[in-house]
Amino acid sequence: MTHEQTPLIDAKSISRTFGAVKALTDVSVDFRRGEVHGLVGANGAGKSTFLNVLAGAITPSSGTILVDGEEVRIHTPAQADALGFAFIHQELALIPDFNAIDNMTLGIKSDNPLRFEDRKARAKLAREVADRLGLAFSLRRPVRELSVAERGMVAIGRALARDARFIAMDEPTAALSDVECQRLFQIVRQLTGDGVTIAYVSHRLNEIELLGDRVTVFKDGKVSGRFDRGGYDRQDLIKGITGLAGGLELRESLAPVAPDARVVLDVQHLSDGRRVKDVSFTCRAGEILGLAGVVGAGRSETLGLVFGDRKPELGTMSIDGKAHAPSNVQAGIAAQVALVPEERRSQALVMEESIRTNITLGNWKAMRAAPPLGFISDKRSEGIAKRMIAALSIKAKDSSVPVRTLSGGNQQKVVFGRWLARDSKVLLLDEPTRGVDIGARQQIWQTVENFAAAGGAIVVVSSELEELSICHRVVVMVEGRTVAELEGPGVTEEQMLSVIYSHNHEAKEAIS
Amino acid sequence: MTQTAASPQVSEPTVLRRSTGQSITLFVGKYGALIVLALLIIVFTVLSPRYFLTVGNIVQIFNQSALSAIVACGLTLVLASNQFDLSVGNTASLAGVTVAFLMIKGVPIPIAILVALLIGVAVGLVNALLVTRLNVNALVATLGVGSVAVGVNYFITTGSAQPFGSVVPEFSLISVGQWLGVPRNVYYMVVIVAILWVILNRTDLGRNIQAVGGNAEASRLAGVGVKGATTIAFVICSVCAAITGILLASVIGSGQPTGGDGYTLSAFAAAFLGTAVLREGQFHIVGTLVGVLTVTVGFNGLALAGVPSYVQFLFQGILLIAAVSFSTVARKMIKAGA
Repeated sequence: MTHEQTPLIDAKSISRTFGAVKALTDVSVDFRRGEVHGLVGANGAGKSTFLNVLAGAITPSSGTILVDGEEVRIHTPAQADALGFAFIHQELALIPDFNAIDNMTLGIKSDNPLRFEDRKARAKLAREVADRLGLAFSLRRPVRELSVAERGMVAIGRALARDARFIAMDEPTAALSDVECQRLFQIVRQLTGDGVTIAYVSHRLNEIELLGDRVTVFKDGKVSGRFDRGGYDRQDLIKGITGLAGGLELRESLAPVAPDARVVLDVQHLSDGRRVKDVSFTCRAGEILGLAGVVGAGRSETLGLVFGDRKPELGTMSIDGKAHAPSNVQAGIAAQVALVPEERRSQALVMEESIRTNITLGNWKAMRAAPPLGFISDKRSEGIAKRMIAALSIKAKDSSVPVRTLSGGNQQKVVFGRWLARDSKVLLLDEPTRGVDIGARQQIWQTVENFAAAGGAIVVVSSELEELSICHRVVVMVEGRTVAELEGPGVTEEQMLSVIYSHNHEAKEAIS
Repeated sequence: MTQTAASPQVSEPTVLRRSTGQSITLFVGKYGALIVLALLIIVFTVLSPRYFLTVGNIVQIFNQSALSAIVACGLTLVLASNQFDLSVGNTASLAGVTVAFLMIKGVPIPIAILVALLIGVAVGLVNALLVTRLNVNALVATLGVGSVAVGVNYFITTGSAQPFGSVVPEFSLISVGQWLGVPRNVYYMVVIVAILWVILNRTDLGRNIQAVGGNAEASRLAGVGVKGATTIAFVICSVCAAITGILLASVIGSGQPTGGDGYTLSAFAAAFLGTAVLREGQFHIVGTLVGVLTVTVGFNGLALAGVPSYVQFLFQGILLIAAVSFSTVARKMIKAGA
């Protein structure tokens, strides 16, 4: 059984420097056949750089990689591919207009001398993969029409179609609802059962605990901890990630909502005729309200309706008792509603611009000089930017740094800073801590709490039920309708899941 | 927000050090056009020591740059909003023949100018309408609109020049002639370019244009009026083109049906060259102005050196390609370095 004990991949003392920055220092990780190997660490800790070394995207400055006990050099992605390594990145590298078959078999050569595309063979291969993954959707639809979860499955299918024996998944559940996550976990277990090795990168420690046979913790480009299943608890991971004891355990400090607090946001029977069918809830001053549900339940769309990004067909909204029917985003903002959107990079930030510009984006009047000329100047925005950098502990040299160079957590703080600087009354948060490391996540939640304590109303959409469990109240949405309301904080994931599942079940039965 | 969490850990912001190769590329990306301009000046000074670096020739270079600069700086607003306008040259030609045609028909000069400017507004609005409301790709939309402008142009002129010298010789005085020894067109250029700089850098509109160019969706969700900003950028661009067309007619003494067409290429060349001036890969007014001067210095110097005119086209094309290559590579480097 010595062969069994030779790891599939044995990376030894990998180092990589970029100029004077040590991105990886003496990192050794081995991956055994058929294991799920969790990789955790804050953003910038070196997980991605390490995986990029295995992917052939980055050449290490020193160190060796053994595959099946033999030394290999991986200088190009094609070499990684030939070794049977597949990498599923957060931003899935799918071609939107291609269907699932073409995406899964992309780059696989047809088996004839002139390389005529063998459509039958491709379809057959994709079908086999789809069956293996238990995919229920049509493989002939362009993937842009698929849900995020389905697209993730297509990406996994691509790895399987080329017989990958090592699959690295980078935050695979970031965009998935809990139900979809369960499905993914099943697939991961099934793959490892077939002998495939999975490198699983995630900020969600509960997933690592659930799936990981072994865990390697990265900090500052070095390995700061190695654990076997059952040989650690969450505190160990957090200590390895942050170098500090304590961590994610979120707040006992949440101030209760005053019993006589006024209702700030009141939404009644809202519908947009599409995803949102019948949504009613209220949010009071100082309250953090969670919206729970699976992807596609209409939660983001509901936030869009309140913000003015979409128009309702039916239903009413009011803010502080005044009718709220924003005809566009500007009207929503004028009513002091703020949205921290789901996709930070594409929807919230101008990546090439400075922190300063991003904080004042759309808020130029704050940078305007006194009349009569009223030209705007960077000097005026500097005060706001400085205040927000200090208030939100944004880590940056100064306010002129492009947001592109910041970590995910600091980028998100910039988005928060934009709305805090605009005296928002209602804060709508769509996946506020996605792709944010633990330290920044705590700071962001502290910001949210402070906003509530100052009398703001907050509505949070999160696919992480753990995050919703700390809200004052959670409203559960199923297929475009609000179906239940749970009192928090301390509402458990089980409670939320049971509501979601039971209603999903009902909905399905009603259809059939 | 009155108070916030104390930062649990204090860590130094990471400073990315760059390799020598990256530094060089970034340097070239940031100062490339200035380096090219400096080199050209040195080379031409050596080649024609008695003529090139004289006050007369420097004034001449600014004069030759004036009309290009007005078009190119107007175009810069559109480019900054991440759109394109390929109709500027055709718009300039149309405005030029229109003003000449109307004056020949006896329309008073101010009204003829006003109509020509309104043509600029109309072209800009149509471009913007196609791009922002119908979501037509800007390249296609403005190419089509440009062709329509050519059609209208030939409908008015039947393809022949519109000399107005015998009817309203005084119209030539608008651009021909000097104040304080400097040609009038240079003054127009300075004023218009200054206005455009203020718009782009010191007004809400300019910020909106730049924000939309950086990330339209994020800007929209931050409350920026994306369509409005884009529309005004197109209109300003076309009006600048029209102004150039009018001044060109005044210089030439007639409305030439294809007189302004060449400005499309020279304006794009200048604006893209300008992305390699001081700011890494962004369109901005000062950069575009340097770009225009670089192209003009090249033309001027080549002409003084007695080089055949086809070389000038080679020069302009190569300069454009080199500029775009450098700024693209620099941008990639910046992204990779992050």
